[in-house]
Amino acid sequence: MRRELRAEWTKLWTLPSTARLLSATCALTVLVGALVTAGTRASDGPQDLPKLVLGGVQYGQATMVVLACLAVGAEYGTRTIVPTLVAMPWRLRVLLAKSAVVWCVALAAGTVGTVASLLVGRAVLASNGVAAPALTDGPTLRAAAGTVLYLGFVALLSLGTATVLRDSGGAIITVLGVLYAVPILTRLVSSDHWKRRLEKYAPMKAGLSVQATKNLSALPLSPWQGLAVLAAYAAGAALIAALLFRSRDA
Amino acid sequence: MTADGTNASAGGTNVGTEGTESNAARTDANAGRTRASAGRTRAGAERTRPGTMLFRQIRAEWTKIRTVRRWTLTLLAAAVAMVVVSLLGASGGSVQHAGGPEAPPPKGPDGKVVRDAFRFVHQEMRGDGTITAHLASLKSLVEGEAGSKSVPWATAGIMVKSGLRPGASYVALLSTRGHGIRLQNDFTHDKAVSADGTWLRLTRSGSRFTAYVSSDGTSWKTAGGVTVRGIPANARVGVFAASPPHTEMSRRFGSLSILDAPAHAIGTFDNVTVTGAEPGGWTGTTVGEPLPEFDPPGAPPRTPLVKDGSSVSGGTITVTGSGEIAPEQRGMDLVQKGLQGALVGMLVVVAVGALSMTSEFRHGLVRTTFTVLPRRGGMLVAKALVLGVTVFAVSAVALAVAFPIAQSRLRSSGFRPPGFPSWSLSDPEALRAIAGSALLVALVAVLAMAFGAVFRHSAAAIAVVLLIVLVPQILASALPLGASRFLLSVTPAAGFAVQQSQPHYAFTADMCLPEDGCYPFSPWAGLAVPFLYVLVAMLLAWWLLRRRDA
Repeated sequence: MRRELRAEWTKLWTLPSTARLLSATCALTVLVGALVTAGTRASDGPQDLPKLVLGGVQYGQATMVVLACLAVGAEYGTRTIVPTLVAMPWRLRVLLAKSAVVWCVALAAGTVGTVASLLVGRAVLASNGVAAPALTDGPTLRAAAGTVLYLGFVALLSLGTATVLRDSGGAIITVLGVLYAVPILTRLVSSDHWKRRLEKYAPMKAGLSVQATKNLSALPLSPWQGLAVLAAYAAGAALIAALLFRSRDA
Repeated sequence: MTADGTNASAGGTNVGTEGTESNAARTDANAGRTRASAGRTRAGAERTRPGTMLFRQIRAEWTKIRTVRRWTLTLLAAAVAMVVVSLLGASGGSVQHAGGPEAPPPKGPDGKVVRDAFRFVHQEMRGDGTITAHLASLKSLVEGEAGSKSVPWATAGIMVKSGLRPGASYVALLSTRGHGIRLQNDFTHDKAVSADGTWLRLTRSGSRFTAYVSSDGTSWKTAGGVTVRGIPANARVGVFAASPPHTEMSRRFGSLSILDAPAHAIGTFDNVTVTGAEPGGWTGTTVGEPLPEFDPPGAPPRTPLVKDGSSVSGGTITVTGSGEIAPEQRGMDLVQKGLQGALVGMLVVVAVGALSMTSEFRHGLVRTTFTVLPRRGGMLVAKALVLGVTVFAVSAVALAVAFPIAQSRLRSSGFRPPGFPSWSLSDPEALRAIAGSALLVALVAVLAMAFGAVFRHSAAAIAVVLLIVLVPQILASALPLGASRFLLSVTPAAGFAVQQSQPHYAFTADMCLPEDGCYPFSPWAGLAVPFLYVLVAMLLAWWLLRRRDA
């Protein structure tokens, strides 16, 4: 397993696009979070501030999706999948190693982005005269840790989808479509019943409920339940990917 | 007869062929030697005239797009997605009509629904005449907690109106709290007056109305003129005041909270003179329905700070009014609501667009393509044409199918006249929205293709296109209003403006919110933005295709 991990790590880390996409993820997360927070004034009344500050991850995740899809899709695109499987014939180990590497990278980028967002957000809030919540209270920590995990699960979902589709372009479209189309659809659907259902089972909406720190009882899902829905999507994609990766020719 | 005709046309064809061949000889430096075989054999492709080559390139690209089953299926999927999402967007909602059939809203002179509510102190004017008034003060009064605020569109001024019925034709010269002096008529026409002053004068001569403004009541400056034919000889003339409610809005990641508080405008006029009027005193009338209260049900009844009304004492007239004289803009754009599928279909089409170019590079097919038909710019143009026309046709059909069904669903869930307009395929606005949406989808597909040629990598091309087309749409409801309007005017997402069926009038108190489907640009101007993107991307792709090895 160590060989596989090292190989996958080398493949991912020696690509110039990896560093660029990771910094884009962090930058987008922090920038959008700061932009949204900048509009908050003390007169706006009580707000779910951690959720607001960490909201940038909705956009930062796009580049993470691209990275995770490329991790598998590029192997098929350039046919390096053949030497990869010749050198490491245990396919599940290859997939596991790939997932582990991408997951770690996503968590690292997520941690940097989340911590930076919180710090920048606090500074922005302070300059607007809004009292920012302490960084160490329970709900804020949960929102922060949940955001990092959210990014990790999104990366795994993308990796699994790319393995199933064996094409980076198609996988990016599919994952971004699943993530982003649902919020747009919820805007269209006028029936409250369906709205709630969509919010409950859509990966992005459900996963991001982990960021909520206020009014938890009004949410369709509790924070950790929401993240579990996203985790279930990621696990489902990974399972199908594992089955197909084993059974198909490369 | 028949034989003659055939001969003639055959001769015509010959002449045409020779003519074009000599053109080819002129344009191609070496073609003189091989004129006989120019453009005749496939082996001599490099001698082919540009027109013929472009034709062949188009045929080649059509064959490619037609025979890759994945792309055909993806295009079909896009069409299905457009229909399904458009129907989804149109279903499920319902409108509550409070207590029985409601009174139909007033309609303006052009038949559009309008808001027409204000306090009017008036008398009758027969034929031509002039009204002059000095607006001594204009105050804006907001009820409730926001009492210290003032409403920028609180107005008071002078008006000639054809009658007291809401929606009747009018001309008004008015002063506002925050937007200067304006000359308005018939609800949708508004001109800002550059002159400054508190003396207002409006002169009628037939159907011509001329406005004057003065700061001292003696030296008058012409402030503009309008021609309004809908006002009969016997018109009501007088002073008025109106104020839309005070609105505060906060937007956070799609959640929107709006606080409305009733507001009044109090205008104090003196030195009011009317020439050409019938003898008789002033009458005070509240025109139109007062604006609905926004108090939540069960809240204690509010005692208003002031009541709308008017008083005439000596030469001074004080008018207190609330309401708005403006085109009705509240409510959603039903045309747009029936075309939401375009956004989702676009997502799918981006993949086809990008792949139609990048798969050439990935499989090395591009070398074969350029060997057979070496004009690289031509290949780019051919791809753009084939892709654009195909995608346009597919999405136009899908949206035209979805639109009437979506509208009938909307009608059956309560979005029907008199409260809402009824749209069908024969309305020019609806047709423009459908054709424009299909054009937008096609433009985005071509943009993805051009980016594919620039990046030569499907993932990069797709990600960039989605980032600049889709993400602004999602960000629009999350960012502060200024930032989101900026994003929606500089990214290709501005093209969604083409789906708007009702123009936004900036001179009313309504806000132009992206989540209500209000875009910064007018329909066609909005569509020009993605077109410019396509143009620039195509030029960049052309330059890079020529410069780089395939």
